Amino acid sequence: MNQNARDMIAFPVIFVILSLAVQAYLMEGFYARRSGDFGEWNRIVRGEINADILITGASRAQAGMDVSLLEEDLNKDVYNIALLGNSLALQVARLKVYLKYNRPPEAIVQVVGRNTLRKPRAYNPGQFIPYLNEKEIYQTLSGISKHFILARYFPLYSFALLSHDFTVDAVQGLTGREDTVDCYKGYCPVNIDWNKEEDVKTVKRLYPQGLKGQMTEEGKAALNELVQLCRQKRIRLFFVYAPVYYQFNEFVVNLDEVRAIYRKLSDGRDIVFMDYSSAEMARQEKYFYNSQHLNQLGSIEFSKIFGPELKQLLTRIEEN
Amino acid sequence: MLFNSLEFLIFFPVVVTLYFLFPFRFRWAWLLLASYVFYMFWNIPYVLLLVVSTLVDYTAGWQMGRTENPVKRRMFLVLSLMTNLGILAVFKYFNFFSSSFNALFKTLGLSAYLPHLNVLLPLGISFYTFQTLSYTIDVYRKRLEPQRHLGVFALYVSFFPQLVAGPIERAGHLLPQFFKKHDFDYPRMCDGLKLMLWGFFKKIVIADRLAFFVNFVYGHPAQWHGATVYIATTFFAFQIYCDFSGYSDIAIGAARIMGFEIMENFRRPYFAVSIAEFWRRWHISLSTWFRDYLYIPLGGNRVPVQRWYLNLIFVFVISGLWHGANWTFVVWGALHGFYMLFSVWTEGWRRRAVSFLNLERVPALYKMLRIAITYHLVLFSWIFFRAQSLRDVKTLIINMFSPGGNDAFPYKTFDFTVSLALIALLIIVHLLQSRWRLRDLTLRMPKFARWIFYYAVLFSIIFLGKFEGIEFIYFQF
Repeated sequence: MNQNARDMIAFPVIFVILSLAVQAYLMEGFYARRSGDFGEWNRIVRGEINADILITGASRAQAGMDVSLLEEDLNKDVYNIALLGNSLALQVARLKVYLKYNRPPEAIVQVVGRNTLRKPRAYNPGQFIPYLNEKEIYQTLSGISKHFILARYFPLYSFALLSHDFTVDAVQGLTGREDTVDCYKGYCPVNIDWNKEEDVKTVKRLYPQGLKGQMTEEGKAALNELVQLCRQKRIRLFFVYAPVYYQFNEFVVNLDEVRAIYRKLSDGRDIVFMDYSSAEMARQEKYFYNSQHLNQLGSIEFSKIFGPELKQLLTRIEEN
Repeated sequence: MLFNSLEFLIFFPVVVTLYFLFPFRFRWAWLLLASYVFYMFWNIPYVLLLVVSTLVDYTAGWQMGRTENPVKRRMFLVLSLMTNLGILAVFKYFNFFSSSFNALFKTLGLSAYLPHLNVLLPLGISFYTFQTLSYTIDVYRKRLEPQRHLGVFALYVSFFPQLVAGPIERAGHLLPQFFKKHDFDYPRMCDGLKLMLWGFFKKIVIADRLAFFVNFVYGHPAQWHGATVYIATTFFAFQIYCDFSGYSDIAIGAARIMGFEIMENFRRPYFAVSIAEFWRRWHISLSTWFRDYLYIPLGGNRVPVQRWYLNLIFVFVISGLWHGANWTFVVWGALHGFYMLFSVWTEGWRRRAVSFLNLERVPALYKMLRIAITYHLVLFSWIFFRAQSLRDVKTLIINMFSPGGNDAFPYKTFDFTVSLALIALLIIVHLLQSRWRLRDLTLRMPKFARWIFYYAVLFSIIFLGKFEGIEFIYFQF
């Protein structure tokens, strides 16, 4: 083989080796993180959580359930593994990873809403990249976008595709200089002002015919999977429809249909549906940071209502 | 297919490998197939337009070659012109003219309505139309023998490296290359790859990064003032240069790997000392096309002076219209025509001013001054090119000279700092290129250092590049 042929082979081979090495090094940065999304993922895959009560869901779960208040009320270890902006399919995939590394909880509180059963989608996709070797996560993501398949097999693909913040996250992990995140055991309260009039106006303008809660086949399949998983692991499952500002609920044309799905699954013993969508606090603007999300004050108030009711339910179920 | 896509990263090595493995007599067919596949990745039915252009121009050229009768020859030329320009007019300009006529009639209080066609602009239509027109015009002028091989002619029209955004090749230069056997050549491959790498760097790292800031300002022109508008326009000047010259470099490099030489399209345009020189350095394949097929046939400067002025303005207005079906492009072209006229009118006055200020005694300063003035004239014209409408142009120009209200602009971000650094890097590279051939310089480096340099460029593309599927700006033309 002449020198040119050797160079033609050596150049790409060295490039691939270098890419693999750089990727492996940067991944260590994600694995070293203690805060933010990567911090939560790391605690899950290292089996550091082992909570008695697990809260799952999306943004309404992450910002709407005050873990410390629930711990006080229930006298149990509570943790919130909600996945901001992501669909139920990914929430279930995360739960499966959780159960692989952690002790199964006594109960799971699944916060549901209008769009829980929507088509699977990956929000903030960078958070999943270091954990693509977890087959539960990879299987779900590979069905959502081909980019996750490429990210798993092509070194540095994800660094090229995602914004430079992704690389910065890895470097922060490597240097130990992480941005602090105001969260406690996965509960991340939000305190921002809400321009209610503007919000309501926007919704009216965007959806003059009303808004429809999405109920896709994929969403229903994920819901079934969650139910089966909980039955199989003997975990009690509580579907909780957290408060939504009442004017927004009026826009949802199939709200009853959405709620009926969870009500139908409820047997009052292993699976319970707790509906707060039209609770009294849902009429008070001061508890919300937008039409669908509770602010910190709202999450505290809601947890004060929800905690004792959950405790009562758990006690009653245990007694029976 | 985009050059900056994963599909191309797979497509190109496969095409090149099989190209060299195939016997020479099948290579044209392989490249033709690859070129059509390349185009069909964007849209399958629209490949028919390419086929129509090819068949009409092949037939016109062939028929012109069969007769000496000037009437018949002219008839076939007209057939080619009407077909190609007709397709261009329908797909690219119909809606522009219909909406302009409708607006005009409305202003005059008349009721007339020309319909709006709901058609997609065929990718690269202006490029391949001009390329194939140059063939029929050259055959008509008897500067070129008609091409008898339909397959090779089809390849000339659709050759994938320069199909959708040029450089606009001439048949006399490109066609003969398809009949020449190109063996695999390692140094030539390295040369082509280096050019492609630099093209990717310019496109993905520089142009697409700058695009973020440009879109930020040009998307909401009323919000921004003063330096922010100036900076955004400067960023656009470098964005469009890196975007388009990046595409050209990738095209030239890709063709070179297979043994084809495609014409140079850019020569450090922002170092031009006059607008006339700018056009000798910017989009060279288009400006020479307009020179050879429009400006000179109109009489060029060998006509009475008033007619010459008219020729200049006309060619630049048409050039503006070629870039896009919008009045902003028309005014952009007219503005460059006016610059040219102004430079002619003020030549004596400028010479006296230079002499009065003794600038000729400090040639470096004089040159820098000329570069700065030319650059700012071009920069001003880019406002017309980038803005969505003439109303936006007006807003941006007024706002550029008024202070305040730029708090939301992301000045203090990593991306902004990197953008400035990349522009500085580009200027340094251009300064070096004006003295040395950088490709030769890299060859003088030891292999170890050279490879480290290439890996550094590759990794900087990966980590600093923007890969979110942003298309090349010139695709829309």
